[in-house]
Amino acid sequence: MDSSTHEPPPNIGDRRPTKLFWTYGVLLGAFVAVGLAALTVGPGSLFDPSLRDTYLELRGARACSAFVAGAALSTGGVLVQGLFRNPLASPSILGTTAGASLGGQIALVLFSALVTRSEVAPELVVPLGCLLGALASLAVLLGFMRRGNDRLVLLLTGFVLSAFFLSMGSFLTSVAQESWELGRAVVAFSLGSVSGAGFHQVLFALPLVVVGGVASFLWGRPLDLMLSGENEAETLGVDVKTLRRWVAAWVSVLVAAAVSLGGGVSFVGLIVPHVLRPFAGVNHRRLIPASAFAGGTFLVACDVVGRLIPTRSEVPLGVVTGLIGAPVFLMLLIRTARGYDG
Amino acid sequence: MGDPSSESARSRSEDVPRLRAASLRVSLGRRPVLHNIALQVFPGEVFAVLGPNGAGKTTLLKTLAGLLPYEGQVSLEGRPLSHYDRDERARQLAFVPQRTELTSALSVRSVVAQGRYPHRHDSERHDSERRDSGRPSRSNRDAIDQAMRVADVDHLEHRSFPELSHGERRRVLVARALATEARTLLLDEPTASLDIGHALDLYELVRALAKDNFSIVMVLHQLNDALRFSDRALLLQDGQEIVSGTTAEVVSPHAIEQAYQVSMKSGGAMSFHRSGRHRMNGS
Repeated sequence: MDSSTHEPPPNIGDRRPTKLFWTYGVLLGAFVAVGLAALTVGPGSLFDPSLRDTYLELRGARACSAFVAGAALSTGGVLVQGLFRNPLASPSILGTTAGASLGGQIALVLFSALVTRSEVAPELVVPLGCLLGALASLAVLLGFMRRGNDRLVLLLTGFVLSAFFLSMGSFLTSVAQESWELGRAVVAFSLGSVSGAGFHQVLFALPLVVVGGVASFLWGRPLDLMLSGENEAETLGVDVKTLRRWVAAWVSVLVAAAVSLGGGVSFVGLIVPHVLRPFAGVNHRRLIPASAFAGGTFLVACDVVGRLIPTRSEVPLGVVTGLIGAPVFLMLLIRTARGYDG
Repeated sequence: MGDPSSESARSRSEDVPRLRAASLRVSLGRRPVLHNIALQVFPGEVFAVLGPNGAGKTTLLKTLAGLLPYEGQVSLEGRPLSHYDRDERARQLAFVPQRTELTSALSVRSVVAQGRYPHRHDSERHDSERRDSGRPSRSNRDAIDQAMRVADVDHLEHRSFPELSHGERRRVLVARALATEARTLLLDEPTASLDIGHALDLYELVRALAKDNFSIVMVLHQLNDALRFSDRALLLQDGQEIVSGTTAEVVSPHAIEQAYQVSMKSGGAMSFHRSGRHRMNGS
């Protein structure tokens, strides 16, 4: 055969388009099913015409919150996993999750102290607190990175910040127990829940997530090169230090948005990108959109499951993600381990 | 440069060296690792960096690649290395590590395509730079195809990188370096852990590239290989130059004894023996 007639296959990526197509097909199916479930599952009946609109609005807001928070956490997970070249990294590794959480708690406590006896829900005060908390911890993180910008410094600083903010949060929680209502609110917030989220919060968080998601996508190519290690990426033209700073910044923004919607929800950012990698490939510009979509769907599903478990009060979302996430993660770990052997 | 085999090297010596280092000093932390190193690498030349373990060979290569801070001068194509921005440098100078950290399931083609990263702004870049370099910049796809062909990995295009053998991986990394269109290649022990057949294949590729006017700097452990496949060499010990010159001059019994504490017998086949002066002093 003449070599000039030999056409190389048009596929340049890592995964055949058909595989990606099926991945998205399954995700879309799950999205529709979970979306329908999110609107219909619950204590009230949709057949009561006087209550239908109210129910739909409440559940719709709740589903939207869960979706946006899940998308943000999964995208954050892809970013930190790419940056640390470790599939077991979670976005909370940078300490900004704990920072955002503490910011939210402080906002909650301050709000109740300043506006006592008021019936106004702290709808926008808490998200703002989360954002400020995340940005404050980001500022500390970047400050330390000026001193020594390497992976270990980032990892240790994030760990210490996380521990510090969590302790502060626990302190606040114990202080808040003096008032029954406030104590409940603070605990519910730190356990993670989208039950109280309304469309206002979604509107606050959505721009942050969209901007963060697009920015993450744009950093996808240098993150691909980081798969080869920092030295190789550097010699191929990647400014690793700048990349590190920007990834930290965008993870903080995404996490702040997620925490403002759902409080402390664990496991999503860790597990979703990890699960998707065999299907969507390791290429970041494919993994980021797929993870965002899958993470959103996963969190809505967890919220529905939380509503289904029969307890007196609802099971917190952060508990459900852990309860579902941990076994699923272990199963996948076993499967991938087998895959490497065979 | 008295060696007759380096006649071409001598005629080249009037050219501008492609890569040049002078009074180069490098410290890792507070520990000085390289002292007062000088080297020149010309177009079409294979340059070997030799020396015992811990002599600073890899440090030297990483410094030339721009990965480590240094004192002294390093220049690339007659211009100080520090004046290059990252992308420009990556288009002129490619580094092939001894062992890549890449373990993700990227296809071979995607790995080679990483070499196109410094060209990502090509369409925006002013045409003058391309005219200056004298060679038109190829399209990404052509450059990737060509790099894979030259390194003879085109048949592996859709294979997953971690599934390849050591020899295949090494060639894929060389292909990635070629895809940058850099004319200076830094190879860190390119044949380490390769069997003799794959090692010879790789050396032949290196010689072919040199013939195509690439400049290649290799860290080598096998002195026989250095003699056979490199034009000039630098012998290091404890971060200092013992001798530099044509490889035949460098791989001399005296210098080898000084650097490695082994005695060298040449004649027919070369053989090395631990010399009596050697002590296990941890160096």
